[in-house]
Amino acid sequence: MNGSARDIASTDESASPPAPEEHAAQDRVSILIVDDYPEALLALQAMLEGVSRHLVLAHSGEEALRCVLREDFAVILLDVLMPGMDGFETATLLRRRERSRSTPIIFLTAANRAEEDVRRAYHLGAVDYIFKPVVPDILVSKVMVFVELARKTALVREQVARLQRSELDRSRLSAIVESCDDSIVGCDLEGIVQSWNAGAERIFGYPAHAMLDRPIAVLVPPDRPDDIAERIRALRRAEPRRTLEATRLTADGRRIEVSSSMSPIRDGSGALIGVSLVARDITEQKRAATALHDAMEAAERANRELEAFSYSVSHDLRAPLRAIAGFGQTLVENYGPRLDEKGVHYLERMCAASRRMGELIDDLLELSRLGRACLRSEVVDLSRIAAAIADELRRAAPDRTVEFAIAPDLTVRGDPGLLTCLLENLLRNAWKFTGRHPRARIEFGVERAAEGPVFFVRDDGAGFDMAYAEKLFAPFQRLHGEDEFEGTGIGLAIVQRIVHRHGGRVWAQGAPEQGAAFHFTLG
Amino acid sequence: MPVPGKYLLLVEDLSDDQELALLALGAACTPVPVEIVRDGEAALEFLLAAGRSSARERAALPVVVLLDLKLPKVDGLETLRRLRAERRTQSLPVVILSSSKSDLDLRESYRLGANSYVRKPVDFHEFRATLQFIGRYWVEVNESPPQGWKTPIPGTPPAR
Repeated sequence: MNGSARDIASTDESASPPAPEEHAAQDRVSILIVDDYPEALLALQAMLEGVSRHLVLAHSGEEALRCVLREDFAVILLDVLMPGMDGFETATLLRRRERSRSTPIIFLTAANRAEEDVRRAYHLGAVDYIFKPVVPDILVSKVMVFVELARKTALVREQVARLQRSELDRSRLSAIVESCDDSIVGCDLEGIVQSWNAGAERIFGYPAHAMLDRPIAVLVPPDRPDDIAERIRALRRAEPRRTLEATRLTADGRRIEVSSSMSPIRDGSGALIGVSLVARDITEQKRAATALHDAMEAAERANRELEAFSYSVSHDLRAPLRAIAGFGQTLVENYGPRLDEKGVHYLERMCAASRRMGELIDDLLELSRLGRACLRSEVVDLSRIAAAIADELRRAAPDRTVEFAIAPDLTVRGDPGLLTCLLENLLRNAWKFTGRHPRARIEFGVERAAEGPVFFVRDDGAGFDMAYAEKLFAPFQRLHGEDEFEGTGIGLAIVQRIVHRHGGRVWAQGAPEQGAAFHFTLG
Repeated sequence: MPVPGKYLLLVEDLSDDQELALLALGAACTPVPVEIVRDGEAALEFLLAAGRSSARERAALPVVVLLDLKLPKVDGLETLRRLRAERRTQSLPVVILSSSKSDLDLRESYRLGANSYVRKPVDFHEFRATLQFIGRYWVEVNESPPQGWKTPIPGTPPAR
């Protein structure tokens, strides 16, 4: 013996796997044996090995006190006669320790000192004594009593702890259920309400006392099939559960829409004993969805009407125009010689006006088409498109001196067709309104701003009075006489619509005879 | 000099457009006789009943039908569909002459078997030039398919 206390069993309490209660308690039963004779210790150990798998041996009172610091014992076998601290002293100290205050102590004492020792032993709180030399059967049966007692105590303690835990779980759960915004209702299999949370009261308007022990079916409108009863039946048939939307009747007779799911409640043996119903009020959600759906349908209808309108404008308005232009022209050609110069002039004015009206109709249709066309999203090289438009403009009027300054590599994401149309309108505008200047400069570039890139088309042409800047983008609004600059006045309205469809904004700056700048973002 | 036996059929409900078309075609270098009907029903009657009626037995079909889309009773697309369903007119050249710029009309016309789709210009000069061009092409340039010849579906073996 090396003189130190040692564990016979190496059972590590904390690492032991969760075992059935009996075993868990048994494993925790330790016995402390204190004797200064190693031989005596070994003998006692041998006798008690069948009683507990966890025997702790101590060779002195001091060592025993240390062991007691570390763990609880079912019983302590304490030799009275030991050098240094004897059994009585040790027992006195053991009793002072919180941990061992009530641990049963069995004194081992020599038979010849029985009377004296036993008196002292009981005085010190010993529960029993055994005379030396020890008779194994007596020792085992006495120790067994305490081991059993310790086991039972551990078991009771464990059950108390479990009860406390489950009580805590229960109150936690019920706090969750109570604080939940959703309605959580427990029912038995006949659909009789067993529990009713605050959410249920809030949603359905019934307080708990009004609903407990009443059928849940009162929530189902009489003109609707009883989905709850049907679902309880389905649950009993073990059919898969699903969440469904249902109409419910509240205490004040309102109809509300709920999203409702049902879960089984089972007893310890797994038998279905009831159901739990969770419902969420989705009336507002449904109303919003319906409103959205209606609005979309209305918009679609309006769009279809607009489509029909555009079609009819395109077809029916053009026919009389064609007649005016056609007969006017025929009149000029076939009867011109019979008219004087003024008559021919008037006729030609009529023909020109009808042509112009044709253009206006085309532009108007284009504008309405832009508002409805599907928007594609691709990477578009604005610089390349601007350069191509500039080339085309220069080719069409080679006698003009116009310098184009186009910033390179301006790419965006957007609809290529619409963005081409946008640049075409802005650059043609710039080209047109610089037409009366002998030299002109047209610039396409970008400025970096907080909201992102701001593109611009700037010219040094006729410009405009900022007082009318607002009117620029309205369809058919013109700031210049038609004799001055041709056009229908739809170009900038088209520009604005394209920019808006890309989620951007457009604005203009200018001054009379000092040029104009059109800025736009693309979302 | 009119080309003997050859004529155009104009299906047009607006008398203004009828007259303008006649003015345009009448001013052509080679005037072409034009028959006019006012709606789709009349066009079908003219083109299909002509083959069955003993009074106009086996009257020649026009070299081309100029078909407006917006017509009373039976509209242009329906007229086209029915013409293509009949053996006699299955391969008869049909030019849609419409004011409509709608993509849908364009697609539908070709889907139903139009040979060409022309938008009526508002400007009379253009209108006249367009009609004269069409007339000249179909009367002088184009060779009509043999009458009653069934157009095979492309890619299918020739019928025996």
